[in-house]
Formats: sequence, structure tokens, C-alpha cells
Amino acid sequence: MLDVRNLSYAPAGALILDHVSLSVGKGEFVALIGPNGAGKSTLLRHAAGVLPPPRGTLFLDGRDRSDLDARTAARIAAYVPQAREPDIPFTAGEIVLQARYPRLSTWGRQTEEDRRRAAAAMEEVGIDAMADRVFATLSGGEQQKVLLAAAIAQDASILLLDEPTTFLDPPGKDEIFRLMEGARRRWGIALLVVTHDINRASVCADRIVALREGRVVSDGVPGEVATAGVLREVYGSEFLLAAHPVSGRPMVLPRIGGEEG
Amino acid sequence: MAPVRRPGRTLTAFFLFFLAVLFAAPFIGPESIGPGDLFSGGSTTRLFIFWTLRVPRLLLGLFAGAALSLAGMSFQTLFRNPLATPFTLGVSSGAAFGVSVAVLTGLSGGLMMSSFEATPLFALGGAFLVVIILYRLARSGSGLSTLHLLLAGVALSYFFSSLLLFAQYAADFTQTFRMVRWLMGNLETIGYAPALALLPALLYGVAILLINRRELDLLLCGEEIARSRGVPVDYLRKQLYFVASILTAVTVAACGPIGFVGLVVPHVLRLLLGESHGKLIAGSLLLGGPFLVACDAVARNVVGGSELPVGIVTALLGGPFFLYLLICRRRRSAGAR
Repeated sequence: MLDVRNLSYAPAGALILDHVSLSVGKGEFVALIGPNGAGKSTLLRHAAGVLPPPRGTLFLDGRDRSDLDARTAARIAAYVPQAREPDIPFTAGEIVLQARYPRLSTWGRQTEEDRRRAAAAMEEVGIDAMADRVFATLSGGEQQKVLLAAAIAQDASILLLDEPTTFLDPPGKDEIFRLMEGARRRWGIALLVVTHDINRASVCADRIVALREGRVVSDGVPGEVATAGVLREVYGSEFLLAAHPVSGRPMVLPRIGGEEG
Repeated sequence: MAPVRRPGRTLTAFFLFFLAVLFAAPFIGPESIGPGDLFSGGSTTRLFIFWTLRVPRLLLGLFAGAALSLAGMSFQTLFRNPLATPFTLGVSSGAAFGVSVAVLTGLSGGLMMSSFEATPLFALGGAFLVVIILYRLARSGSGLSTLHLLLAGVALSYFFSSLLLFAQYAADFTQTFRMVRWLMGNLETIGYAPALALLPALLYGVAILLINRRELDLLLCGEEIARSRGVPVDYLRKQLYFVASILTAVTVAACGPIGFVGLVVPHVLRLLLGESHGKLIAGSLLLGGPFLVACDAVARNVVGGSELPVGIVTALLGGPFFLYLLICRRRRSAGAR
């Protein structure tokens, strides 16, 4: 689905990505973690076509992204940026329908199918009631959901999400993760999610990839990556871990109040 | 809460306004001409005034108003800034400088802008000089840096304005008068040549903008979203820059810099129709032209006998109207919170 091979990115001499390789299989849920500035978002932006990847470093469905025209690539990968475009002047319904763009004919005519898919995505995410509201008047969580619904309506085979749960309260975070899971189950969409939420990544993701200073430090199932040793290497600090009472997956506990002596 | 919009009805209303202006405007003027004069062998003077002065003036106004609205809409989308106008990047200062050169070198004809005259060519030359310098300054990699475009545009605008001041200082009394008159913006015309000269650029602009209407919608959502949805942002920005510049340049060459149409009309359209570019383009064609023609009718008739240049009227009407829109908008957004 998505294959990154030895991708390096060093604008103006600053090494942001250093020979990064990772892959996301069909229908797979991969979480990308790491400290701020590790290059997570930059990696995602290359996959999304916001930054052009060099030839031979990034493959979508087995095809080199630099050979694909932008619309073809957008039919394979859809992107949910961090919600930092609050001044989008369109309504929620318009934004979701616009995401059908890579599926439109050259003349840009929207068909019944486009409207149907947009409506289905909005219903899936539970924002059909706010279709006529302008993006700027929505709350942070609602904006995040609109962008998620748009990415689903784009009908791609992989979703790239950049910190989709920042600024959300705990139930909101749960809901976004549940929606991503739902999209995967219902449409078979693969997910690559940049997040600081190690716990929810540990519970939901098939694999976790940890990045530090532009390099992949660890790549494996949550039980392999969310360990005290790996997390120390990734974040440069100690972690206190426990097992989730239901799934047994590793959970990060706050160290404050947990230190001895 | 956003107001309930009915784009279909609004566009129909614009179309009716368009028709009303189309049929009423040629009959309005100091010399009263009725529809009867056209058929029952009316006086040749009246027929001449109607077919050689008024109808060409109507067409020029319709084309120029539409072109300015489209150019304003394009620059606002390109910069994602609602305050951008067709003249933000100094295209009109370049044109004004071109005109001052024409006047100074004696290549410009009489006071009236007749059809065969060098002034529009010099205006076009000055405008394109600015367009090309700016393009070279703002080119970055495969794209166009909108920040550089904006900054260089403002700088260049000041530079050419000071050149214009210098030209006015060097000119004699009548020459200065002619330059200032041109700067006011006017739809005065004899014959169809100026209107016809505008038409190819207008058709080209409408075609390019219509083909790219979906891409423009996405560009308004921000560069990241546009790129990730498959919009060739770099190419689109270049196209948008050239379309808007050409529309502005030919319009300024034909009528001088008529201000505020390119700011006010797209704003009204966004308010009434929403932001989708398909509707904005249709609205620009249906409202932009008639708006300018109506302003011109007011300019020629309200101040008895003395035919004001339309540029003065659009500025007089447009400025306060824009402030009114701003206040409405602030009230609405305050209510939404």
C-alpha cells in the first residue's frame, strides 16, 4: 500500500528525515510516534504529496509517487492535516464533497455517486447534522471530524492522519480512534496515524513505528515498541508501564506520583 | 449562524438586473433618446449617439466590470486574502506609467480616448512590464511564492507611482491634465474597438477559471489540503496569476484604473452566493458588468450636465459600501460566538 524506502529530507542542510524506511500494508493500522521534531509530520507530508518525495523513495500501490500525477496519487492516499486551517470559508458539507475532486471527470462534474459517497462519509463520522455550518463556526473536535469525513469521502486506500486527537477531551480522542477503526473495518482503509497518544496507539494499532531525530528507532507490534527500553531510547526519559486490564496491551502511566523515594 | 443562501434565486435576480441594465442604459444620457427614435426614421444625430457612443459604452462597461470582478476574485483566492484587488500588485501603476510616457512623448492623441490611439498600447505595455518583472521575482522552484509576489507587487507599485509623479512634474499643464484624467478611470468611447479588444481576454479568462473552478475551491482551503486532494497547486497559481493579470491589464488599458469594482463585487457575491467558484464566476459575469454600467449611468446623469468619470463614482459608492459589509460581517461573526 505505502512503501517508504530510504527517504531522506534535508532542506537548507538541516537533516529532518534520515534514510527512513517503513511500510503500511493493505488495511493495516500503523501509528507513528516520537518526540516533537522527530520528523513524523514531515514523513506524512511526503506521503500526502504536500512535499515532493525524491524518485525511488516513496511508493503507493507499488508505483513510485514521483511518477504519479497528483490526482492519481490522491485516489490512493488521503490526508487529514492538523486542524490549523480554521479560516476555511466553506460549509462542512461543501468540504466533504470537494474531497471527491480526484474522482471527478476532467470537466469537474459532480455526479450522484459523488454526493452519495460524501453523505455516507458524513454519516459514518456523525456530522450529517452540521452539513450546512461554516467550518470556522465549528469546534476543534467537529473540525477534525469534518476533515476526517472528507478524507473518507476521497475514497482512498490509505488515510494519513496528522495528530487527529490534539485539542480533544478524552471521550473525543476515543471517538476519533473509534471512527478510524470503523473506517478501516467498513471500507478496508489502511491507516498511518501520527500521534502522541501512545496508549490509544497501543490499543488500536497493528504496529507502532517510533521515530527519533529523523530515524526509525523501532518498528513492531505494540508489545515490542511500547516498552520501557524502547521508549527511553525514543524520548530520552523514563517511562512507567502497565498492562491494559482488558486487552493486556502496554499502557503508559504518568511518572509523576509514581517515582520511588 | 450563517444566513440561508439561495444561490439559484440570487443568480436569477442578477440575470434580471443584467437584462434591465442592458436595455435601459443606452437610453439614459444628456441627449434623451427613446426606443421610438431607433425605428421610425429618427434623427441621424440620435442614431449616431445611440449606436456609436452609447451601445459601445454599454458593452465596454459590461466587459470591463466582468473582467475586474473576475480579476479581483482571482487575486483574492490566489492570496487567500479578501482585501486583494485587481490593482494590489501594481498592474495599474505600471499602466499609468505607460500612459504618462505616451503623453510625454506626444504619441497620445487628443483629450478623448478614440479608437485608434497609442495610449491603450502604452498602458498595456506598462502593465505587462509589471506582470513580467513580478513573475520573475516571485518564481521559486516550480511554483510561485505568493508572499514574494505580494511584497514585490507593493514595492513595484510604489516605484511606478513615483515614476508617474516624476513624469507629471516634468510634463506641462495640459499633459498633466491628461494623465490625471486617465487616472480617474472612464468608460468614454467612440466605436466598438475598445470593447472588442477586451473580449478575447475576457473569454480566455472565463474559460480558464471555469475549467479550474473545483481546483480554486480547494486552493481556498489551503495549500496542504489542495495538494493532498490532487490539485497541481504550483501550476494553478501561475495560471491564476496570469489570468488575473491579463484581465486587469487589458481593462486598465481600455478604461484606466476603475477602482473598487474588483473589490466590492466579489465580496457581495461571496456574501450572497457562498464561496464556490462556479457560482462566483457566473455572478461576476452577471453582476460585475451591470454594476459598473449602473455606476456609469449615475456618473453621467446625477451631477447635472457634467459627465463625471465613472472611477470617481465607483470609489464614492464602493468605499462606504465596503465599510458597511465589514460592519455586518463583524456583527455576524460576533453573534456566532
